[in-house]
Amino acid sequence: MNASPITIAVTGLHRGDNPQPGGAVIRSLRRKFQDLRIIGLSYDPLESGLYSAEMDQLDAAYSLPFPGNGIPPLKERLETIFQSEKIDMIIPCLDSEIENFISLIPYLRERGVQTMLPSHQSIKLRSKPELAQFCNDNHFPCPQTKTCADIYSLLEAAEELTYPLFIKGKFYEGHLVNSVVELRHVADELLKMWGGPLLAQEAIVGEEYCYTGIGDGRGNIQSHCSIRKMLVTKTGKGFAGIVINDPDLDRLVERIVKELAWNGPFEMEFIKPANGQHKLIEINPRFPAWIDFPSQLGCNMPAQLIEMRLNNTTTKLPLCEPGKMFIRHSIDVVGDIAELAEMATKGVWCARHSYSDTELTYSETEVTK
Amino acid sequence: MGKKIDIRQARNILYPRLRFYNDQFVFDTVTGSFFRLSPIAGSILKSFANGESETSLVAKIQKQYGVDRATIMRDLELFINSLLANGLKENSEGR
Repeated sequence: MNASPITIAVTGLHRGDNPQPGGAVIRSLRRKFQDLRIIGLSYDPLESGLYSAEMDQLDAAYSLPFPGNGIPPLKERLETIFQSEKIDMIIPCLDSEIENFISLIPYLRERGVQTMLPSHQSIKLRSKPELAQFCNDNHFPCPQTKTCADIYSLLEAAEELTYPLFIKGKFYEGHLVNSVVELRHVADELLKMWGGPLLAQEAIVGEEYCYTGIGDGRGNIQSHCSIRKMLVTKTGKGFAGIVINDPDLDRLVERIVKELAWNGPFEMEFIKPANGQHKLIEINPRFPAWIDFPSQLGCNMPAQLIEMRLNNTTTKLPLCEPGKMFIRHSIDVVGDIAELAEMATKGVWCARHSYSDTELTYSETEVTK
Repeated sequence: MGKKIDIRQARNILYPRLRFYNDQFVFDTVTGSFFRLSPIAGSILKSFANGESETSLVAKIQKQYGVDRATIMRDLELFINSLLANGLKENSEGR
């Protein structure tokens, strides 16, 4: 009798104009482990990853309550899912849900589910409202940033920092504003979407860099990849990137990871003015949406993450070669309204065939051509 | 006035980090920046970064383009200066 496959649950499945990391994590996992069972945990029946029939295809998907509803509804929903699925590990891929999953670590452990997540303290220190203070306390360069509880303090902060400046939401989104009118409009939108506080941040002109890695919880980095953003969307997301090897950036990230004793995946974003230092913009407590890029270069961090947790082993991954680059390439995936209906009404969706069966279908098609 | 450029020091910074793709395209592995160069600039930078001595490089340009030594020295300094200003900045490893 075959042993049951290892089952990994992944969130963040939408790969729209602001792609979430889940699909890239799944692709990376399937590159190394073809027989994994991958469960999607979804917040919306229109998340594009639910309909993918490619390498990031799911074997099943379950809906989750929105992170803002808190821990009890999430726990209740997971309990229902555990009645149908034996999940070995959950890899949360969205900033807004991480704290809920951290709070549930003891419960998940009881249910035999592994995670690799930072502590509440690390999460708090890197949170957008606290990050500037954390940087100042530890002499990590960062843009001048003010945390504002309301529109009045935001206006005061803008006067002090001078226009143009960035206004950022608690979890996501940042917009460059050039005037009080723009500031009021952006602040209203962000407050409606994410709630307070808001951040006012000095606008720095420079090149943008991202650094992703896995912290081992004892202050060390297991593996990493750093890139310069080559194309940036209106919302500041990297749409193309090129691998770099900057010893100064490496040393700065090592110091930050050590200070936070970071456990699990992370992405740090920096801006570097011409002839200036790298300034830390944010720390995301998850893999980035471009994580399958280093995986394709042999530095498969999602696969390393599950090996660390499920096998207690750490394989040394190669460094990515400077000059390798990625460009994001949007495609259309085909779905059926029946699948959307199933997800919208029952909150459960099962693939008609597993990923390995799908590969067989492709091969057969090739043969008959 | 900017600080005086030490050409030897600049070479030590450039040599390990630049990658050339034919004579007209250079990639800086540290900053991730890349530049398209004119054939003359590309050839000079490549020779310079690959360790050709200042004297030999100046003599070569002098012979090829018939320009006086002082002008070549000045142009070379300006060229290196503009590279540094474009992000090919020394990192602490090279200090």
